[in-house]
Amino acid sequence: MSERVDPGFIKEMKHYGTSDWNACFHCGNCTAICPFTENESLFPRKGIRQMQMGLKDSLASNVDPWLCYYCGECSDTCPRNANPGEIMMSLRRYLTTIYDWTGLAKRFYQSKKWEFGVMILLALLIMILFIFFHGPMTRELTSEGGVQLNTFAPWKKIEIGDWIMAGLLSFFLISNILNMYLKIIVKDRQLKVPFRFYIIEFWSLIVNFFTQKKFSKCEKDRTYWITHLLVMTGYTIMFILIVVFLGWFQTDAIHPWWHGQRLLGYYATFGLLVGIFYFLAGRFKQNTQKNKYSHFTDWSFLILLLLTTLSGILVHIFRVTGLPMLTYYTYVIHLMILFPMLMIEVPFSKWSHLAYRPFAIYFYNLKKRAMNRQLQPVLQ
Amino acid sequence: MNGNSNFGVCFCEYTNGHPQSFNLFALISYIQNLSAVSAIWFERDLILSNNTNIVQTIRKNNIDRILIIGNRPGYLKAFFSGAMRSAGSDHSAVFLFSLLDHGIYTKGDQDRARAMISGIIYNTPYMPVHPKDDLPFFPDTVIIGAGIAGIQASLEIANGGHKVHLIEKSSSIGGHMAMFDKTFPTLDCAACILTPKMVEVGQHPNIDLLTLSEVIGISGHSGNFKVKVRKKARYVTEKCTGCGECTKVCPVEVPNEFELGLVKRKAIYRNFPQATPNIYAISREGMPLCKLACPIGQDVEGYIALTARGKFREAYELIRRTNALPSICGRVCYHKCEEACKRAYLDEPVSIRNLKRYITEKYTGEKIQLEKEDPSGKKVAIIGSGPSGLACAHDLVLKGHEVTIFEKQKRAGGMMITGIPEFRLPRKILDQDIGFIEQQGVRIQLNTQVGKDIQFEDLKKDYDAVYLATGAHKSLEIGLDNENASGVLHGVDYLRMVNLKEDIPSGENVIVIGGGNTAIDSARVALRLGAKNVNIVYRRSKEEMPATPEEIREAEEEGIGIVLLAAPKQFKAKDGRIKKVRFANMKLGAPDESGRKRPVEIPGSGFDMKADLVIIAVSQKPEIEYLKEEQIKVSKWDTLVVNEADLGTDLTGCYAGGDAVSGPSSVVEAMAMGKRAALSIDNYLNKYASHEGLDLEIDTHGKVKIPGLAPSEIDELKEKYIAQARTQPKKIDLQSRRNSFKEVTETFSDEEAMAEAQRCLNCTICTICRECEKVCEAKAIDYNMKDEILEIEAGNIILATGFKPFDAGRIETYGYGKLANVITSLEFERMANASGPTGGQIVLREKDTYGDFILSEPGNKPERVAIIHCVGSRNENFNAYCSRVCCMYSLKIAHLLREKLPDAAIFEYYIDIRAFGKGYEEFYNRIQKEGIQLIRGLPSSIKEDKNGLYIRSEDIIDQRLIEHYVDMVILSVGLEPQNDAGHLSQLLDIGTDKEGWYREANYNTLPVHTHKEGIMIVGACQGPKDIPDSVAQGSAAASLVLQNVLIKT
Repeated sequence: MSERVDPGFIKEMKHYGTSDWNACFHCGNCTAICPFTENESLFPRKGIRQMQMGLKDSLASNVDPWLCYYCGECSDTCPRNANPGEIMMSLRRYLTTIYDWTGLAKRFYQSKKWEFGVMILLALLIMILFIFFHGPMTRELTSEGGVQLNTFAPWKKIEIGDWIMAGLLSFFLISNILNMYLKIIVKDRQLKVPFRFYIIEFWSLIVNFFTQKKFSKCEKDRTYWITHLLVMTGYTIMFILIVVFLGWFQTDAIHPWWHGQRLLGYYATFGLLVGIFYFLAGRFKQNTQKNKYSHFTDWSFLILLLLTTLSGILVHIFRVTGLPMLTYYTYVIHLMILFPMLMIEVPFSKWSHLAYRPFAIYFYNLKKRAMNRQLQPVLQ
Repeated sequence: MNGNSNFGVCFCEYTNGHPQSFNLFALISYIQNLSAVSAIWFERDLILSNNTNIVQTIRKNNIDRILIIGNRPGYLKAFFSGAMRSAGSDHSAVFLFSLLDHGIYTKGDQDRARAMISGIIYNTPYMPVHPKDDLPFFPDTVIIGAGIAGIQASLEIANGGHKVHLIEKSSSIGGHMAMFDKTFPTLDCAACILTPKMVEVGQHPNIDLLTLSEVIGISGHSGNFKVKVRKKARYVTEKCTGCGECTKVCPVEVPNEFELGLVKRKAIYRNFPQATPNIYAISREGMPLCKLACPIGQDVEGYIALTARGKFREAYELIRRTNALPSICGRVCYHKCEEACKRAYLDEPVSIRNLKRYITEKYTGEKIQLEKEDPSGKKVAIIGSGPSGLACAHDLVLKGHEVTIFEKQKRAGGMMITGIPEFRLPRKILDQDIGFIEQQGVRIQLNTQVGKDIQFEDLKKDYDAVYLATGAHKSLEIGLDNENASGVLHGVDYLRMVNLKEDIPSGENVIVIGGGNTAIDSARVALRLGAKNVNIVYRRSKEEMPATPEEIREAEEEGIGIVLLAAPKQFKAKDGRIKKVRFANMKLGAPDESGRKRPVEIPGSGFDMKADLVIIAVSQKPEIEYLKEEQIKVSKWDTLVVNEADLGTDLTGCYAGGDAVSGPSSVVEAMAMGKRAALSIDNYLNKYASHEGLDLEIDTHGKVKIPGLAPSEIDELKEKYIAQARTQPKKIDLQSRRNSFKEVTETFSDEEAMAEAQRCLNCTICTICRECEKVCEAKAIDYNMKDEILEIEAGNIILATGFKPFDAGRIETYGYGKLANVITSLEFERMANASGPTGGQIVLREKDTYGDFILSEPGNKPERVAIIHCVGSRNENFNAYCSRVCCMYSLKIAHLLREKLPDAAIFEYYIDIRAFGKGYEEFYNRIQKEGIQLIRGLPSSIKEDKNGLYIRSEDIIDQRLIEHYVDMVILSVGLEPQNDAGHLSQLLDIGTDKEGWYREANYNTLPVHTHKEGIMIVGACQGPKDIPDSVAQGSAAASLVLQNVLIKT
């Protein structure tokens, strides 16, 4: 069955980025120069065509935008200055809103009011919870001179909150991935993916999830990839520490600096700060193709992460130097930023790429295998 | 210019596409309020078929100028011209202001718009108003550019009975069309349809063809333009028959521009066999600096070029043409040429003197009789057999006169034999050169002193003319006591005694006073005669020493000491023999009249030096005793005074030159004066009315200030060439130098000579080696041609300057210029052309040892060829427009490939195929049927590896990637305006659009008009277009011109 052309679609895309997508006259230069494009996935031009024609179904099942790491060579070479690199970025934003079945992602991308509104709401929720349920705000210090943080906010209670949050995040994220799977693999009736392929390709999922190995192949961007890896490992460590090992991590004891709890914390903080400043600096300088155009979601992600990290650092400093009131207030603020950030960014906004990218590669590999397998008898 | 004009301003309707935010109403109200504006109209209020209202308004307000403001306001010009004419006002005072052209788009442009328009209204200088019609009308037409459009226009006008001046920058007409092999869509051979027109142009009595010409200035208005044209010197006259013998012998090779650098051409060349005019041309960039610097004007670059290519005899003949004493110069000339050599900016000058020595050594000794004119019956006496006398004698005897030289010494040679030691100038060499001159018929009478053995009176009686070349052999004295003590000599006397083998005084401790070559030579001679300590004492510092630096260096190498800043105060003698010299220390003060710093004694200083031989070498003066009875004027330095123009003295028939006139100088300068004197004497003997008409070429040589290079030129030099030190000639060992008179330097070997000659940069391209002159049977070569400036009066000007191809090197990813087999479409056309560099064969290219590209053997054909469209066109990063012709010519190229390589795989990469109008779609169809792979999807890069040229692109039609290797890639480059389009547009005061194409008055209705009446644009210079459209525009402009001429005459 043939797809319908939707001329109005192009107007909708305005929410997701700024590019002169109408200027593309399909010369194919961008595809020719892209280092990642393969026969089974020709991009970026194909996605632009789908976008120009408003072929929503094709777009929904198009995994190519996630295979792009925005090296920007296509934008450099485009004779119409249509900016295919930024179009791919816009498509990633669009797809994020498509995979989300709740419709919240769409609201967040299209409306600053929604994003900031929900953020403030969630922050207020945290504040209220603390107002009602906080422990005594004692000024008495520990024997080591640190603040009794766990008196004010006992880690066992916080842990419960963390688990609830983790559960919600997982639920939304996993359901969105399932949605993605439906659109990419299941809807493609012509494609038959035998079960064993799921097992064979699983390793690529794990590798890409943890190392972004494919990204490292962009020669131009090796620095970017390493910095990104720093951030990624930084927050992953943090996430695991606060969800699984909160008792060990949120301690009132002041360990020596070489102790695991402190070292891990420092590494994570270091990785996060280096990365965030590198990305922010890039976006201010606008010195490469990928830095030139910033959507408000790009800024909000980085700034929220930055504020979370900074407030976390402050909590640590105040605690070990024995400033109780500051510690407590900063702790609350820290959680007031952290909770909305995670809840909005991970399932519904930019941070969702942590799942969509590796899964996109996984699904793409599955498709590639299946297509090649199906073609075998024909070629023989 | 007057501020009293009355303007009527009309605003056009906004046509589609004018940008939005500019506030037109604000502009309108501003203009309404200007005092010089009497009327405002809006297009919508005009009734184009009835201009009565407008005419009334013009009359009522005395409007004498109209300004039409709009995006492209040209289409209303005719209407207002008519209205002005009906109103009795000046119909050509209608001006146009295009908002679009001036970039007036947004509200921020308001101020600029107001400023520009009020400037026009208040008559800023660039807007002259056409005066009333009483200026003469020139019926001639000037057409700038002789491509197909210019040729067509010129033929139409010429056939219409009116004169055309067709101005073309290159050496032949034909433009780009002459480079093509075939034309689309008919596949006619380009030369076959072009050359009949070219021949017609060449032979047409109404067409004045000016090739190698450029327009440098234009003044006047429509109907009476004055066009200034510089016609560059061709150096070949119309006698040329186009036989091509000259090209075969020319030693200079440069990249061939017509063949786009695929092969080289010679300095004398013709673009292609059917060139019109069919006259060869010589590329020469002025006069070689080395030749200008040489006092006798030797063709230095010429003989170096011949040497570099192993043509040694020809080099020798060229040297002998102007130099009577070449072997001598090859050893002792102080080489002004080397000081002017541009190579010095890069590394070191070419070793010209040593090369001259190498050449002369091969052939000196051969008995050669030069061509002499018929005997004139006149006799000339020359006093002195130095370089001046010898050179004069040599030239005069070849003119047919009888020449006798009177020499007072027992050997001939003047200062060359008495003053230059044998280790610098071996006796044998001197004798050979002088012997050659005697061979030509000059008689040298030795041991004959005028004033003693023969009287000056007798010479005046027996001879028809006399040349005084007695030189300057009398030493100057310092004026100290004991200057004539035993053991104190003067330099020239010392050297003469040694050279003529008279009694040679010797000494163990020798002091030489002075800093010139005589002093150095004296010191080196004394050393060789056994002195233990030789010191040269000079009163200034080393920089001021007049001796040549190499001489000073050689002296120091031989162990001679140089004491500086010291002057002699006292000669201390005992029993009449010199014992010591007392010196005072000097310091440098203010400069004296020679420009050198005056040495000033340091009071109370001083030192003694022991000496048993003191040689004073502080300059010489001429001996003029024998002339004391004559009326010849003498200066206070005892030099003879002559008339600068012809070297004549006050005594009729008596001329003078050399050191006797100039004071101590050099061999070559003395020769130069001798040659000038020979011309004067020859003129005098043949009784010309005046001395005008002499070849003044010689007069200026050696006196011209050699210009230096600008820093940018020096950078260019360093980029183009690799620095490489000059070859140093071998020298004999130091021991032999110190105790014998053997010649110190050796001659170059054959390899050294050629390598050194090849260091010459060929600054002027043509080196004036005169080989072409030798073989030209039609005697058509004239090296003395000069650029001419012509002023042409014309009523109309047509611009037909065409396009230039996009430089594919700007797209670095295609590797043009780096990969040997990535070529442009035009380069391919030349390859495919039967009269091109490969004779029509398609071959691959390779890199030679220098990294340059050369065509390979005829059999080495490509098997897989890719053609890439839209190179430099339809690209915002380069040219956003479409160049219109590339799709069609790319298909044509595919056809040519298929014709010549029947089995090749041909891939054509495109975005769209533009095959519009009559015959083009059919052509596309035909080419497709010949079997080419058309791929929609451009590759963005070409990479080379051992398998060939790798190309990858998206096959958009079939949704897959295509990647493969090909042998050759042809880039379909777009069209761009010529480099000088901007310059010409300013000269003619016509506009260009933002890409540089000339601006027509209105794109749709007035495509060959410009905003200036009388100036038309045709062909590709108005915008990229193909041949049929260019020809049509040529005819169109011609009809406008003929219309103009018809009305006015």
